[in-house]
Amino acid sequence: MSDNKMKPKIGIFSLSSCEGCIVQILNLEDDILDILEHLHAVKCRILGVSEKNDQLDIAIVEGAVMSEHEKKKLLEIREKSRILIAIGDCACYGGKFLVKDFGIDEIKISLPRNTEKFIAHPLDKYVKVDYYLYGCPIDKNEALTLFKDLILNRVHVSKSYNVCAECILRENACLLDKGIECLGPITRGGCNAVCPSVGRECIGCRGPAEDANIDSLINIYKERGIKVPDYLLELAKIRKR
Amino acid sequence: MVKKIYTLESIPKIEGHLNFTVIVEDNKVVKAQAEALEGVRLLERLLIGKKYYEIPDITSRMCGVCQAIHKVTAVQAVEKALDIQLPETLNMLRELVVIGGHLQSHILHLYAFVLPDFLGYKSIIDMLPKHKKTIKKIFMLKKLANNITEIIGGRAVHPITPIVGGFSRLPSRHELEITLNQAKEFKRHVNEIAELILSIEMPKLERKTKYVSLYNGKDIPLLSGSVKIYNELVFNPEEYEQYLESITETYSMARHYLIKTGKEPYMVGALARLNNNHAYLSDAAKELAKKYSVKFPSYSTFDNNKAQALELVHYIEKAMEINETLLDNIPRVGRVKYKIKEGNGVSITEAPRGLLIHHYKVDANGNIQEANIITPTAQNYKNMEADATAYLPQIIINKKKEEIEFELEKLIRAYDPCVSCSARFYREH
Repeated sequence: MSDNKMKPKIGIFSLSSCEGCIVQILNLEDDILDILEHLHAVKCRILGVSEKNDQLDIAIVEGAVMSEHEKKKLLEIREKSRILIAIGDCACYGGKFLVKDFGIDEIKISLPRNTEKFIAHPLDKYVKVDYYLYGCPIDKNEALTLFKDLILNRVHVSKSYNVCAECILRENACLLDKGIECLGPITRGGCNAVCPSVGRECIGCRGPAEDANIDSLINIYKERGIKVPDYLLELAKIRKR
Repeated sequence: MVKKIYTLESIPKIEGHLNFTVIVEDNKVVKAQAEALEGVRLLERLLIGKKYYEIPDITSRMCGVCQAIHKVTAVQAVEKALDIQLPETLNMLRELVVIGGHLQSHILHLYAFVLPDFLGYKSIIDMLPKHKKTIKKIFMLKKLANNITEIIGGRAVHPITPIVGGFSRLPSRHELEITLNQAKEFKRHVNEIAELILSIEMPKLERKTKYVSLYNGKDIPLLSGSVKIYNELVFNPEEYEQYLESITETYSMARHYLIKTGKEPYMVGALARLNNNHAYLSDAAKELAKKYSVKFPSYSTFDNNKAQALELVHYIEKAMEINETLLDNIPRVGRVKYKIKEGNGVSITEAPRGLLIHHYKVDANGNIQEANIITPTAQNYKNMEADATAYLPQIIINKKKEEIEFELEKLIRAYDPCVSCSARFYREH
């Protein structure tokens, strides 16, 4: 399929972020050229792709909304796109699951370029999001699955289970049993438990699994003598609201 | 009086969102502004009160392209604060993670951003029909570099294993053999790829500025050393506040930096590294520089591209050397014991785009009290503005507006700016 006219049109956009999620897409070195055989990239600033185009079949957006300018840009993207996909913790949750400052919505502050408040909002605060790719950064293999789904016109389904499910499959020794503060039980899987598999606790960057039970994790921490961090108590409160 | 305004908006093929405005009156530049647009994440403030071991995970997120070095620099700064000393083999392992990151970052910049400009294409995707074989090779090298970071660091983007006190997991002999093979494979193809950039006739902009990089008088250091201002002086990392100063511009989301004495702009990055350390380039890199008549010191910003190409050749050899040493002396213990204590730690390293400074104050409970992070691109903004001021009058004659703006864009791109990094760390004033 080399005729661009036949291919779905895709735009890749970046709001405030480290652009690591786009880098993860570019890290699909073995597959990226094949993907481009099937999708017609019409917008991607970081690669210098900018074709005049009114309508997009697919918009992939990374980054959080941190200004009026970015809010406007997001609304424009939504307006002209059939499918909108949020990629990464910034786009999915405003970056909160990495930084863990829960319960703060905005900070009044005086900054350059007439910025009067500090906000970092997820895309779905402003627009309808069709698919989510979670994580900080997104997982390369999940991104590949997403592209396959898009090319085949299938629905993309995120993993609903937690990181523990994948960690057990990889036969890792449980870090909680060693008294280490690990967020695997409440965090959405799909990363193939990449951190616990190299001896690091899950830091929860993918946000909560669908049936995440925060109170139960707090109890596990208490049972094993792990100090319960304040952010976890805050998260439990927010989830109950 | 003829007044002309040149505006670059959301410059493509760089990392992050940057506008650049130049105002010219009667062929003289009266204003040049680098305007970072990225949202301010106040990351330095978010770090306050966090536990010391959380810091590297958060700060590595300042940049998605050069994350490995951000992670390691944060780890090193916290280790300085806690008086933690690592055995040499663990430092070497960290350097390997960082070199993988540098190589993939340079590849992305040189071939996905710079090369299309000089071959007459808008993007690497437009190059595909005619240059597929080359692009495949470029992606292959990028993958080899990422593999080195991933095998030792646990993941290519935002590596996982480097932690305060060492590594959460050490590579096995088998894994070190794999990384050595990846490096050897990279080495086999690197000259051919580097020559793509070295053979380009770049525009010339002769403007001598202050070149600032790490220096140790024996190689081209990445993770430790003193800081050298070209032809002037050498200072210790802990003294950086005496020499470098930040200023606030109302038009930019990033802090800008000057050399304190004389309030002069300065340049960091591959060109600064090689202007200060070219004597220590590997023989293969020196040979290639000679073949293409690339000479250091060079006062042309466009040579930053060529310096990066030579670094590809230099650092892959360095990676092989480290890898071989580690195979002779495989680290078995990944963590050193340490006590939490009050302390103040500065680490200065070389990110792909230049000098990177992390500075933390930790209290007796291990909580972060103060944080200061200075990224390479933030330091380069003032120099970019000075370069644009010098360059525009040279290129303005007999050219259309679009052509002039494209030339300006190439100049900015030569710095390999990373706006995300630079705008992450604004502090309240």
